[in-house]
Amino acid sequence: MCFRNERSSTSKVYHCRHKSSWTRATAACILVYEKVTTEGIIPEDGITIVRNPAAVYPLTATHNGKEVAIFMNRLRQVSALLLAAALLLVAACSAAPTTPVDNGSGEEDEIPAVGGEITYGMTGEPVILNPLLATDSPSSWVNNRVYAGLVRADENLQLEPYVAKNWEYSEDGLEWTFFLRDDVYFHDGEQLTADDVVYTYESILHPEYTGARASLYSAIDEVVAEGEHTVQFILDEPFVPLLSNLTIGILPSHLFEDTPVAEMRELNVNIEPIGAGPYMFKEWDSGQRIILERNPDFFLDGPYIEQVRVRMYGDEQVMLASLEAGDIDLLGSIPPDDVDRMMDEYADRFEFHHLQDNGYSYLGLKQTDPVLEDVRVRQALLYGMDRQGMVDNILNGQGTVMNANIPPFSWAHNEDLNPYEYDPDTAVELLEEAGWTEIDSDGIRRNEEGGRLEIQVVTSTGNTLREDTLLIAQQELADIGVDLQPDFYEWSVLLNQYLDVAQFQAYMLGWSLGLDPDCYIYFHSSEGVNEDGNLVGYNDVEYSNPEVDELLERGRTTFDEEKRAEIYGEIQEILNEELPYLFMFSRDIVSAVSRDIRGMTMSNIGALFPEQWYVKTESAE
Amino acid sequence: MSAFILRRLVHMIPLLVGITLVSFLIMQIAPGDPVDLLTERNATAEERARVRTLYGLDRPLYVQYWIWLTNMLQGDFGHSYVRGRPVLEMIAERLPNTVYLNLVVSVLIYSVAIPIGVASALRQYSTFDHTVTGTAFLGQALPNFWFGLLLIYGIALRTEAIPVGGIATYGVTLAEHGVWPVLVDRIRHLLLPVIVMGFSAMAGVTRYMRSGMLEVIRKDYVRTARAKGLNERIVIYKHAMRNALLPIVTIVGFQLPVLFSGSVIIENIFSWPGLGTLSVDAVFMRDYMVVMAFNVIGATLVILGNFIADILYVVVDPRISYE
Repeated sequence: MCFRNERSSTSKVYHCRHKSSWTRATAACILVYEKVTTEGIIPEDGITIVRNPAAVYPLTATHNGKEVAIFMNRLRQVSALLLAAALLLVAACSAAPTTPVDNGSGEEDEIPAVGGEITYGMTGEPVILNPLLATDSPSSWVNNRVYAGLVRADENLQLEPYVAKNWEYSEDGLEWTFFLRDDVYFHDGEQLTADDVVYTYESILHPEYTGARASLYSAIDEVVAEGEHTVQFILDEPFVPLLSNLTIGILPSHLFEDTPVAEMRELNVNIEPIGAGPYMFKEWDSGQRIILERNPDFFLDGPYIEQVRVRMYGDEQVMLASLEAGDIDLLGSIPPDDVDRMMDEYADRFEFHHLQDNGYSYLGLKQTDPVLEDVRVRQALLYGMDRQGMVDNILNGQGTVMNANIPPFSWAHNEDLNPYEYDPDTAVELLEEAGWTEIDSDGIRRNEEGGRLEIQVVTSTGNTLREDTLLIAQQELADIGVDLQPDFYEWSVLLNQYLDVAQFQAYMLGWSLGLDPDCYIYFHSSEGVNEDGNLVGYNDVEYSNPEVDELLERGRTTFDEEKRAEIYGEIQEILNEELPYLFMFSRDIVSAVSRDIRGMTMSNIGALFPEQWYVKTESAE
Repeated sequence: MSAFILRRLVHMIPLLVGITLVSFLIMQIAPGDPVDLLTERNATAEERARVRTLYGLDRPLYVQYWIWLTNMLQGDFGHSYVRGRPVLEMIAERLPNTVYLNLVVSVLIYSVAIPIGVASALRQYSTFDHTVTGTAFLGQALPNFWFGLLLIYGIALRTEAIPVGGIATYGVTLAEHGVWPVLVDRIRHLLLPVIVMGFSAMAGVTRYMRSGMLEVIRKDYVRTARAKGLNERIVIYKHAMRNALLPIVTIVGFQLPVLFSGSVIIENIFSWPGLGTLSVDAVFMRDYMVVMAFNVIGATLVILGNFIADILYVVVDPRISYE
């Protein structure tokens, strides 16, 4: 199942797609570079793939008896390519005869054909189809199809080339050079060049930019076009996490540059967007649907599906009913209570994917609060809550308890953390150690000074997950003598009066994480509240630990992934011990995909590579 | 009469200005700030100030109001802070859907509820009356979202012909399919929302009509009409019903703003692209320009509705005159 990319002139690129049992965990899709001179290498023939988990490269392939390596993660692949580009040849494709295959869909025999249409269901309506200005997930879903960024995430949440075919870092890590593909065109026919990339990033960095993404790019000092297809990012200081932010869609500068950046939001091209992604915008019927059409000139193989329709719903249950009625073919997330029923009733029509969300819910605790500044109290609170019980009851088991800030599927996750299993006795001991020894007639603890052990938690209205969690926590903590008082506020009021001014005792929210484990802005002491009372970063709990500060600084400037994993492992240990947050849990996102849709690559950030999706055709049956 | 109309029209202007002023102030004084929602949470004071200046939110309230008022009078309702689009454009694309649904529902309610109300009054305490009264109360008591979901799961999921939601099937257009298929498609989509909205609103009209009729039927002039040997039909429809309709006319006047206002619940349940969702989202996002446009439209319609009701009184009730 390999497709030759005919448009690529300098190197022949075989784009392979496969989802067999063994590649699923590592790479469902392997980009294989073939040296131009090695003619006659037909991926279908003479290739054997060997799996050896103990080896440096767990996947190896032989071609006509000669061994070649298949690089597992594309980041490493790219750097290795730079080193060994001349030597590297060939390789293999997924349809190896020796490969055990088990995905039940017969996919490996199919050749994707252009055609068909799919309908995706989403709750809510995109706000604005401009990646620089949009922050809502409905907009992102559409923008990810219409626009293309320099790099993009793969199923391991590693970054792979997209508009940029490769890149290199200067030795001091301050100059990042991106080499763009020369075959990328916007949907209006204009070529995507270095100028468009420069325009996109300069707009975000512009003092009059009105969106909410500037802080992700603050390490960039300057973006310079070096010729038509080369862009250089000049950094103030080495900042490794920047790469994961370069996924943002590139805007067509010719449609934007005549308008001042301050007025960008008012342009009509935000409603009828033009990008360079696999799908072209066709129409937007407000409150109803958005229609996207296949971009026949897309620079990678595909897309195959002729038309992608996005239907908008105001209610999750109704969207589910639409799925059952056959109006929509795929759904990003099924409400936890309906997962079992859906899987029972519709297993023949849909494939269900369970993936932990790249984010988590937490209770932020003000570290300077007289009650909460004692780490024993913070630990007691976590011991006093049955988080697994919450996952089982509120999320119907569709979730994972978190003990620090990096989810288990990340390469930076640390497994050896205190799990804080539900243990009211330990919680009581810790509270008594901390001086909360007296118990009042209402069952709430007091200390010697007569202070009452009460904690006010503020959160937003309209989120049943948080409401349920806090109500259960309230009851469980009352058992150990803590009076947890949840207060619910409308989102804008919550921000305006509590969070943005960092005035609270505790609050409950969730983080949606980026691709990089960097968590500097959440936990570095310099990201707290400044003299004017303004938040510098998101360290609104005002956590401060010089050791963590130092590790966070090193994490940002270290390029080597293994070393970074160690650094973030240590950070997780400390956070797990000191608990600036009560880490709660993350949801499992259960998505439903019609069995007619093939070629999808699932990841913790959703279904990837939309250009590879195709609809099963009759002839392929 | 025309002097009265003119006078009322002139009175509307200060009333409208007053309403917009009060709603402008309430909106601004209410906690929450669009700048917080537009900027990053950790935006510096300068960044916030810049966005504030860009949208003119840094000026004194009376200046902001004055600018808004003068622009509005020239037909410029401003741009949405969040979506960047002209407010009027956003409302205009949703308005027809809302009016369309409400119009169908209203026509249905009046054409069904009035005869039912009359009939149940004429047969007071009969089985028919009890059934009608009982059903009317049930309709009013059922929560819309619950009834709506019930219909979706009970009917839409079991019947091929009834869609789960939406306003029309994508691709069914007049140009391609002709009038008949488009009409059928529209009716299929209308059916469930109309049932839910009609059922809950019908109760009120039926009850009004029934009690109005009961009251009139006992009046002396009805007895006189019967006594002078008039046909029962003429007694009921000419003498009694015309008088019983008077309270209904008041409701028709108030119906005008209802016609233009969307219901968030109905829109969410039936994926109907109306004004309700737009207005509520605007309030939550503190999208002042959009909120104010809705306030102006709402206020205008309420005032106009009252005005129309007053005029209609004259038409249906010869005892009333505004000379």
